[in-house]
Amino acid sequence: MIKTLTLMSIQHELGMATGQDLRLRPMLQHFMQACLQRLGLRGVYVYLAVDDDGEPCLPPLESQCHIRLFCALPEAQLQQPHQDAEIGQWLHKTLASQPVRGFDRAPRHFCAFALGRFGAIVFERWQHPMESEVTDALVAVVKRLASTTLASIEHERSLLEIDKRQRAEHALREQLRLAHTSTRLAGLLAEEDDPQTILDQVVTIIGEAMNADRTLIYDVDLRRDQGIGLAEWCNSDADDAWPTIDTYPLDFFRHSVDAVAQRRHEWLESHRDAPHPLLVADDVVDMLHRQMNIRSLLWYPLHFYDGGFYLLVFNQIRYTRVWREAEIEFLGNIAQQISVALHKIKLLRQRERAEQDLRLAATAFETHEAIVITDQRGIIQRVNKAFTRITGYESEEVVGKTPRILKSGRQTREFYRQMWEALHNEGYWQGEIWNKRKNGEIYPEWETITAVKNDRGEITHYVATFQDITERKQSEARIQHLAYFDSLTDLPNRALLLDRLKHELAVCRRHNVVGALLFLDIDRFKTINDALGHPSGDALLQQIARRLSQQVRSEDTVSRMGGDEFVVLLPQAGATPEEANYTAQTVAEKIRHALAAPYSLHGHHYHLTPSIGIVLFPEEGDTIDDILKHADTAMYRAKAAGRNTIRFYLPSMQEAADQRLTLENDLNHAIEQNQFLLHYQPQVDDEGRLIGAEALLRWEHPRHGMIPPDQFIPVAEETGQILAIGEWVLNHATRQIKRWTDAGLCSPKRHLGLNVSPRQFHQNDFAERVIDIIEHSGIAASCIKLEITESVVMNDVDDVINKMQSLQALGIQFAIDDFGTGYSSLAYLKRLPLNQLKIDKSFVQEVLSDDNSAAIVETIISMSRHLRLDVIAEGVETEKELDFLRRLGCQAFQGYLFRRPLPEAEFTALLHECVAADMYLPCQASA
Amino acid sequence: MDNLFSTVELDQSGSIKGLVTAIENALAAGAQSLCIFACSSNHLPREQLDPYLQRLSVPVFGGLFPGIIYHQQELNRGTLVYGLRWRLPMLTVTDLEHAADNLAQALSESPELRERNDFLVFVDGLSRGIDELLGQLYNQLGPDKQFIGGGAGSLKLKQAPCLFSNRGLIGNAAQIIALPGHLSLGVRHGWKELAGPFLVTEAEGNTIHTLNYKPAYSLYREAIESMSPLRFDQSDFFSIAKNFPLGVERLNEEILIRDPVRVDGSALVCVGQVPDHAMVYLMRGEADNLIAAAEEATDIAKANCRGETVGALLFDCISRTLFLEERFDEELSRVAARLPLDCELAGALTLGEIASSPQGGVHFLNKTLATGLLWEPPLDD
Repeated sequence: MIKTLTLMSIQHELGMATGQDLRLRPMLQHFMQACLQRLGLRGVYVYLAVDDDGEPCLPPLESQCHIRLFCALPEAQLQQPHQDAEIGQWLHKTLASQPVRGFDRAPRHFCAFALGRFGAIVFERWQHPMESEVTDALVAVVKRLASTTLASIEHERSLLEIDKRQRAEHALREQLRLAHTSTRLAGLLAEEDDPQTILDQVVTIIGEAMNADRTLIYDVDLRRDQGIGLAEWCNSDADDAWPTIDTYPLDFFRHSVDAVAQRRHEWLESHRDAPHPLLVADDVVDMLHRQMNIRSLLWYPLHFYDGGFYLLVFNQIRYTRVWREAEIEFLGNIAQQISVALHKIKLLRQRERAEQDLRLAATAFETHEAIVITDQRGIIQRVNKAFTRITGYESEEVVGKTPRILKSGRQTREFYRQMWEALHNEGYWQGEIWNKRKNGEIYPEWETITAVKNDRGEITHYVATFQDITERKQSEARIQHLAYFDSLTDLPNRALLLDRLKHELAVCRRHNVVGALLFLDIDRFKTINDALGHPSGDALLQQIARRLSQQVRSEDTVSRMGGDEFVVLLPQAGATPEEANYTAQTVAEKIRHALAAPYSLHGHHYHLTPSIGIVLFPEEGDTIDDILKHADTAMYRAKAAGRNTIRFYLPSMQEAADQRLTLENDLNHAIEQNQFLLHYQPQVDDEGRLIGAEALLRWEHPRHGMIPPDQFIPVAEETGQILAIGEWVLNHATRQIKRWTDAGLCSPKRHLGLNVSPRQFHQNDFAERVIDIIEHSGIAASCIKLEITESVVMNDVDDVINKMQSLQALGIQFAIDDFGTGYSSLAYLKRLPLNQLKIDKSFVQEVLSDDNSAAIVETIISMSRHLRLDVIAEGVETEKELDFLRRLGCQAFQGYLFRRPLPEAEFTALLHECVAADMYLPCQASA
Repeated sequence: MDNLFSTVELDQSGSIKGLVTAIENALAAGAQSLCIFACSSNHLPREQLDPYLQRLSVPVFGGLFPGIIYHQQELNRGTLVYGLRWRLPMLTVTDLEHAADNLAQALSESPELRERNDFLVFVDGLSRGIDELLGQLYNQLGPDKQFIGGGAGSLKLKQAPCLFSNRGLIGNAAQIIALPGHLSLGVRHGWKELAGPFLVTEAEGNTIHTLNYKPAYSLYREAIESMSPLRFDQSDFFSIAKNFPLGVERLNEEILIRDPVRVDGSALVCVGQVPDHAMVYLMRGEADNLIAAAEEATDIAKANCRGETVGALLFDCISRTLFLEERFDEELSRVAARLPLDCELAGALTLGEIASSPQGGVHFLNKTLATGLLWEPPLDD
């Protein structure tokens, strides 16, 4: 039972909704929305009678008008006008007698009310038909809706009528405007005799009549393959309508022009949003519609002649425009008038040309300088023999074209702008210009261009004279070279060096990087020079210069300062003084070796050595003089130190360089003399059982004692010695495993972890080498776990996976070392055939004091579980850390809490102990 | 659940770390979309949360609610992360007050979304324009689609970012997510008429200015004080009002509940729109009726399932828990008892519930329980 009050409030609400808007559709939507909300409906639909244009109308009762679904809520239902036919029939037949009717399509229930005699409103209910008291209440509401709808339809029809009338008036105004244009054109042709004025007036009159933004007439000359701009008008109201008139090669518009020529009298229309396919095929859409900002363009061919046609062009820039039929028809009507104008122009021009020829003949033409004569548009009329001699072009190849044929591309647009400005303002230009000969060679010429004017002071031609100045330019270049290069060695001289050093000093200061300068003096050169004579000395200096140049990068500068002194400038040798120190030392060593090789002269061999002083810059307050002076000082120290040697200017730098050199040399000996050792740090599971060990490299130096790996591994990585060391580790470890296996100390559950450096892993034959070593040792590959860092994985993942898979096929396991410190990607990890993640000890050590570290460790452990990987914590030092890690679910550990890394013998003893004590490894109390 | 969700991760700490771990676990288990129910009392600093969410490459949605439901329990702290096996099409609308106007355009650009039939909807429960948005959703997608969801936010009733998205935590927004399976709905509240009807003589959006041509607050207050020993000048408004919501009568005899949450001068401000000229009743609750209604809602949803139930989503109004107090657990256990044994029950305690009505329309409800059962047709279908 519906409550009467509720029904009354709804009635009131719906009644109000009909008066919310006079416009038909918004009014209906408002009403329908209120119905949907208040009547608990699934949908509301309004059907209306419509005319042939689909607009709602008020048909006489007997009319067979169309009934259409006009409005629906939800709007999505507009796609399903399911009752069109039924409602239409019902409206025509039973409207008068049955203004309300139900249709049941269970579970859908429809209730339709007639809207006057021009439509219906249909309410859709779900599962329950409309209650009779609701239907009764709605009759009054719908009546009110019908009268409002009627008023809205009448209002909108009257607006439509007004619109139609306005359109008719507009069409009439337009006809008048076009007729006026035609009259203006006729007047122009009758009165005007100057060809250019006629053309300019034609484009202006038509442009204004068509309300275009830009109008042009082109002579499309198919024989010369050019589109020659004859006249242009730009609408001053359009800001972006700048002048574009020019002569264009037809190559750009090949498809479009050919199509217009073939189809004749057919126009071409293109829009930015819908470019014409022919312009697309010509690939000029971007140029026209984007760069030139033309929104719509129309090409209308005017007059065809033998070998070409005239083209009327309209550009619309401010808005997109589709030209109406009436406008195209108008162009058809005035085309005849414009053809007459063009014919008149042709006759006038012929007469003018005859007069010009006479004037030209009088001009002295054949001189040693090249001469080019063009018309006022820049089209070449005539050239002389000198032109052909210099450019390689015969007269018939260039006449009718523009001097752009010679364009080299070396001059900027601004250059040409200034040149034309001078020509227009002063009638004269002179200057140097680089052009291109027919054979492609680019050459400089000294050119003078003069504008030729007629009686009225208007430019009719341009005369250009020029001479080839290639030879003069070459001499200038030679002089320039002599000023900056040493004539004996062809190396940069002191002046050029100072210039470059000044520049580099500024660069280093700005970018906060370090450069290096090497000062070289050839030991005892004076003695040899005096003994062999100057010519031989010079020959030796040339050989030295060549060797020096071969030892440096292209960006470095090798300079001869004079005599036997040379300077090598290494710009940006390093990001830090240490890096620059290393680079400078490496280059200096290379140079020292290169120069120390014997020199061959007149069948004899001579030995020369350099003393090299090195200075790094910038130091606080350094000037370029200071830098050279310091390098010179360092070089004298090298001489004092016994020659054939290298010295740094700063003692600290020298010390660092010496230490490094010593370390490198010692490392070479260390492998040969068996100075490396492996220590073994035990790894245990959560019950303390020994599950393996990590082999750790130690270097027992005969003089310095035990050197920690972090001091020599980075050097070995840089020098490549790491490869030999890595191989030594593999050989040594596999031999040791063999001994343990023979002693019954190995088990399939224990693995020995071996660290592999990135450089070693990325060797092409890394996998083959490992396989080879294991096969020779005779051990089970499953004893070995190779530990790689995240940085190995980040390079060339596919290669890494291939190598890992081929080694894993043998049984070798893989662990990611120092996990968490690099930039591991989960995506990579999932792809890698890994067995274990090793949590870096930096996190383990902070796990109790730093929440972030704890969170990282927890995430690593949780992630390993999901990836089904073992996880081991490194660097466990206290019971508390162990407890915490256990609680997070970590099941394997390594660290001082259990054992420090042990020498071979001690670890072997421990293995014996563990085997005897059921593999139980107690924590080391005082670790 | 195996077919729909790749994993369900619960973090009870309510910390950012817990949330990140739960998400990483879901991703490691192959999740292609993430649905997050989190408690508004969690400590999730935006400066850490937003960059993290922005880095996720799978769609993420969900909200911060006054409470969440997991395994028949109400949690006031913690996060529930659902990893879904599919990359779900979704639409995020911001600037909710004006979103309805642009919805048609936004939907036309998401054909993938339009093709689906069942949707999950999350809104910032304290935004304006929710009813308009839901009305427009119905208008654009039509009557054959089904929606379930709720309003996010906190009980402090102060608007703040509360929806999880790939842009970070966002507010004044809504998310519409296409569900992969089938959804069947049951919606009930169990509140009964106590006094009325009153005619809404002036209302605007969710504010009622006058009832029976009198200032709305004074009429509401007089009605309650005349029937109970409660006095508004002695208590906080909401502590009384939570027990006496308004009911908007609809023609199909359904009563739409509207919660008055605060007084603005002489006007009552509700969660959700109250139509002008509507008839409203003063409602009262009995714990037994409310719990029985929850069971009924579950039974209706079950009756509409035409396959195996794979999960249950509950959007239960936070004010029901405030009203039922310790008996709220009973409501949850009695709902759970009507579901298949292995059916995962999860959801949120919301600021307003969203559900489509079979009679038409998608409604923003108050003090109501919306049960959505996710089901899959039998294999031989």
